[in-house]
Amino acid sequence: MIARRRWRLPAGLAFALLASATGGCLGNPAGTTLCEQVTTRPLRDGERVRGRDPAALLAPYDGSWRGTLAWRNGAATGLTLAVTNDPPSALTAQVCSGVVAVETTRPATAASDDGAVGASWPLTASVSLDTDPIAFFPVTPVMLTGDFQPPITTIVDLALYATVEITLRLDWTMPATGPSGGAIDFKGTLIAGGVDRIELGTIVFQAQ
Amino acid sequence: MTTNGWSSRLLSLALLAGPVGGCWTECAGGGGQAIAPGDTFKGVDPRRALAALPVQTVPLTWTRTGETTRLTITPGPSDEPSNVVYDCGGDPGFSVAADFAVSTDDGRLDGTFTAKLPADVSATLTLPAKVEGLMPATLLLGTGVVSDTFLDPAVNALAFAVAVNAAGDGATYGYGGLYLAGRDQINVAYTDPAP
Repeated sequence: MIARRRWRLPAGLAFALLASATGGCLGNPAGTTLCEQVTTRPLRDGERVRGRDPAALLAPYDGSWRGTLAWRNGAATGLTLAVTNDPPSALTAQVCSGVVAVETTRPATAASDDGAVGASWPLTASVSLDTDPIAFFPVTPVMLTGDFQPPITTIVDLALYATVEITLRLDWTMPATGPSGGAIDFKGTLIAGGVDRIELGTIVFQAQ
Repeated sequence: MTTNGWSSRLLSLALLAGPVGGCWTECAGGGGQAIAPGDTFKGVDPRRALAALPVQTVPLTWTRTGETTRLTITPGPSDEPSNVVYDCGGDPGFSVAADFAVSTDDGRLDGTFTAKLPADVSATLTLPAKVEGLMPATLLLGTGVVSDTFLDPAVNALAFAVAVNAAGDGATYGYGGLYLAGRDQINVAYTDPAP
């Protein structure tokens, strides 16, 4: 009963539990142990969990989404986010007194029409499978790399900074099968000391 | 940039981010009883505490250009009410409203904000403390010390924070800084009393 309540918590917490699971035990505030040890194993082709098909549950979470990136200097450009499942990505079962979740990692890319944003990264999707399946992406900011160009370099003077991080952040509230928006965020450590955080632009995705 | 510069920045951020004298902050309830300007509490006008604050000019460096100037901090009574607050032991004190005018010799900054300072029930400032307040970001439009892109008042405000330390029977201003705060967090300038 406790385990059921735990796995029906919001996706973010569920992911935190998943992340901690590799450490051995899943604890809860009451101090009881939910599971002595979580293990992983590949999910077999066609394997169903509690009568459900994890592959089908994760299927909506790949595709292509188109949005508009509004830069801070007033410029705007299109942005495409793509998550591919071709070839199909392997599914991994999280086992804790049975399969409690299934996880997969798919290639994702983001690119703006003006060429200022280009990123590719492995995006992990999970579905918890207790009573009501909850699928989610643990969407964490993605670091953009490479030589930054306008309009990024016109919005911030990169020469002022000793270190620079520019990230793509997605707003993706499950169970929506696509992101609603996002932002391009800048964090820089000034040579003169101190840290600046600047929102370089915001993204709004078209409704599916 | 000297180590002092780094120290000042870190301290300034700490001043902005965290309370000084946690007991007051944590235990004071709901802002306490308001004391209108000129009114007293148990016969004490909380604004008496402001007499310890000096008019002081300190060096200021514009972070993004490296240019230096001097900043003058001028305290004065506020039209806003002060408050009676209670510490963790239930003893009263004051949160005293004060206006601060800040201006630089180079003419790039000329603004005023209201801040509240801690004082005991006899209207003696509780030091060290901090002065912090917000001004319109538009004050810096066209000055060149930060891009006008970030000075939209709908998304950012200009924050000023400075330490207030005991000095003899009075007080003196210590490390501080100017920042844009809101949608962004952008360092604009810092003050260092001993560069």
